[in-house]
Amino acid sequence: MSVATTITAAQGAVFDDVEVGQDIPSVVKGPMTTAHIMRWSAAMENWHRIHYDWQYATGNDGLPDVLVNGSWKQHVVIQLVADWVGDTGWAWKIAFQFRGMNIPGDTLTAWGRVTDKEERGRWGLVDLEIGLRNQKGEESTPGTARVVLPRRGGPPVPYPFDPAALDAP
Amino acid sequence: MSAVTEPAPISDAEAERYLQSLIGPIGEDVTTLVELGAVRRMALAIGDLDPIHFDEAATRARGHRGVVAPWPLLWLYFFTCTIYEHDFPFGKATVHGQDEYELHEPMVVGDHITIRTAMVDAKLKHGKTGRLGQVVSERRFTNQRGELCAVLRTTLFRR
Amino acid sequence: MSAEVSEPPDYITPAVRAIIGAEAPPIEAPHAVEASEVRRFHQALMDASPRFWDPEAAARYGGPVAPIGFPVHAMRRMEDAPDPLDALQAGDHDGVDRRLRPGLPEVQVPLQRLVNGGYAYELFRYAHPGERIRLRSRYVDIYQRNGRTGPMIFVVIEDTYETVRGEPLLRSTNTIILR
Repeated sequence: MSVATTITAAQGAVFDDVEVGQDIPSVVKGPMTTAHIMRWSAAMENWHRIHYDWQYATGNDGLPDVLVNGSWKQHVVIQLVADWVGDTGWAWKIAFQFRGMNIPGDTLTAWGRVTDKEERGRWGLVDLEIGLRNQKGEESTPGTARVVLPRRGGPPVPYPFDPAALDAP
Repeated sequence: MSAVTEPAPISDAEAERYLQSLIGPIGEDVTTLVELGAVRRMALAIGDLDPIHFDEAATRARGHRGVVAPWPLLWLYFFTCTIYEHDFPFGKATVHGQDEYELHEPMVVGDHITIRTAMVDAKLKHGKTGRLGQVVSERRFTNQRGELCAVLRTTLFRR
Repeated sequence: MSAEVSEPPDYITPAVRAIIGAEAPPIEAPHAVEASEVRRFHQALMDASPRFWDPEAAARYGGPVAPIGFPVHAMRRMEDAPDPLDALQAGDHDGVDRRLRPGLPEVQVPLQRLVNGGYAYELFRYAHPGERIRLRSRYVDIYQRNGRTGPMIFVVIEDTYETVRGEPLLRSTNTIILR
C-alpha cells in the first residue's frame, strides 16, 4: 500500500454551501512505519527516545511500541482544515490536545465536522470539531477549529490574515 | 507453504557483460544550492564547531568566500541529488566498501554546486566467499565559478 | 484505605505568581527558512500541496511557502548550546529538555511529571524561504487545580512567531500540566 497524500484544490469551501453537521473531506495517512516516524524526528531534530529506541520505549517507558510524534499529528489536523479552506479561505484558529498514542501500523484519518456557522463582516466564520482516528476508530488528537470562508460573489478572504479585517467597514 | 524457486543464477560472462554496461554517465547533471541551515546541521551532527561553519565574519577573517560547508556535506548531495542504487541481476546483497575523496575548492553557503555522476569502473572478482561484483561510481562537484570542489569515488560490492 | 483526604499544599507561591507575565528575550532562528527544509518538512508530513514548491499554485501567498505550522520548528540548536545527545549517555535519560522555554524562568514547583495539555494556534501568514523567524514567549498564566489524582499545575505559555521584520506568522498557546 502506498502512503496517501492529498493535493490541495485552489478553490476551497464557500460559506453559503456549508451546513452545520456536515463532514468535511478527511485526510488519510499511513499505515505509519518506524521510517515515517524517523523521517519526521530527523526533520524537526527531536531526540525523544520514545520515537526511535524501541527497547527504551517498551522497556523503560512501558509503551506498546515507539510512538508517532504528536508534533507530526498536529500538522495532519492542520492540513485537514487547510485543505478544506483551500487557497480562498483561511484556517484561522486550530486547537487540539494529545489524548492518545499512535504506533507503527496505524492508519490515521483526520476528520472534521461543522458545528456552527455565522456571517461576519463580508465573510463567514465556520466552527469545526476535528480529530485524528486510527483504523480502530480510536481518537488521539481531538480539537476544534474556526475558519474564515468567502461568501458567494463576495470579496476574497484577506491575506496575510488579520482578524481586525473581519470587522472593518 | 509453497517453495519459492530462485531464478537460475546468471553466468560469469553475463555478469561481466552487465557490469560493463554500467560504465558511463549516470543520470543528468544536478545543481543544488549550498544552504546555511544544511551546513549548520551537518557541522553540529559531526561535532565540528569551527566557527567557519557558522559565522560569516569568522570565515571572511580566514580568507574564505563565505560560510564553509564541512566536507561530509557531500553526502547530503550524494543522497538527495544522485542515483545511488543499482539493480544487480546477481548476488544477494550490496555493501558499501570504501570511499576515496579528492578535496579542492571549499563549498560555501550560496554556492550552486553541480554534480556529475558516472560509473567509472565495474568488474567481477572471485573471492573466498564466491563471486563478487565491484563497482566504482564517481561524483564530481563543481561550483558556479567552474571550480572543481571535490571528487567522491564510492566503491560498492555485490555479493 | 483511609477516607481522610488531606488538602494538597498551595504550589502557587509568591515566587511562582511573580513569573506570570514574564517574557523571554526574543529568539531568532539560527538561519532563514530554506527551500530544502521546506521540502523535508512537507515530505515528512506527506502533504503534497503544490503551494510548497509551485510559484503559480502559491500565487496568493506571493510565492512558495513552508507548511503553515513550520515556524514552531524553526528554532534549532545553536552552535554554543550543549549537545542534546550527551544527555542520552546518562543511561535512562529520555532525550527531552525539561526547560519549558529557553529564556523563561523555571516554574518552581516540586512536581516532576509533565503532560502536554495541547495547543491552540492562531494562524496569520505562511513563512517563505529566505525569511528568518523570531519567537517571543511568555507565561500567560500559572494556576493550580486539585483533582482526584492530586494537585495539577497548569502553565499556559504564549509563543508568538513572526518574521524578523515583525510580520505576524502564528500565535501558539500551549498548556503544560505539572503533576
